[in-house]
Amino acid sequence: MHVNISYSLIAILIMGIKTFSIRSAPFVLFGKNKATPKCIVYLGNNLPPVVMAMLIICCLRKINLHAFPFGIPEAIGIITVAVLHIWKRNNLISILGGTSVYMILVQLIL
Amino acid sequence: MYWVVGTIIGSVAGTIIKFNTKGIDFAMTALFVVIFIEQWYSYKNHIPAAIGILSTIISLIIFGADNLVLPLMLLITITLMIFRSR
Repeated sequence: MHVNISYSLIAILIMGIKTFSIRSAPFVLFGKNKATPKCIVYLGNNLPPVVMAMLIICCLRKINLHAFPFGIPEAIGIITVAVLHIWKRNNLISILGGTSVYMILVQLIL
Repeated sequence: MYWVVGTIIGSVAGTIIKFNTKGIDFAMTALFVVIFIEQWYSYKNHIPAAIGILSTIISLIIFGADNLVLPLMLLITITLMIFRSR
């Protein structure tokens, strides 16, 4: 499928306009000099943990718990990541170790 | 600048190195787990995290994996508003 350059440029331009509008909308809607409403401040302080929990489960939503692997490689991988991180508190070790365990499980064992 | 250089190195190395990369998407899930654990240590109040987990699982069961996101967002917003006053 051949995509024109102009097609890509127009798509990038539209996405840029859309992203800028959405990011500037709170400042436009809530007034530049007034304090942000307490509701929004509360959401801003408390949404990150919610979003992280949501993202973890959204990454795992496609696994089928009733078919053969029963989600066991993913479970072992996540437990490995958690244990490594609680033990070492090092992001790189936890991510690399957990991903390696998962890849080995998926490619060689199951 | 680091981002651009890193992406270039990644895409070039990706075409050169050939090994079986099945299962490498798990790196993203692992990253989110690590960030979640870091947040668990730094936030005193664990109720928003619990709201996130429960809401997502409930939405997954009710709406299925494909239609998950929009009802989930509504559910999270409503639940956070409810728990705000407690």
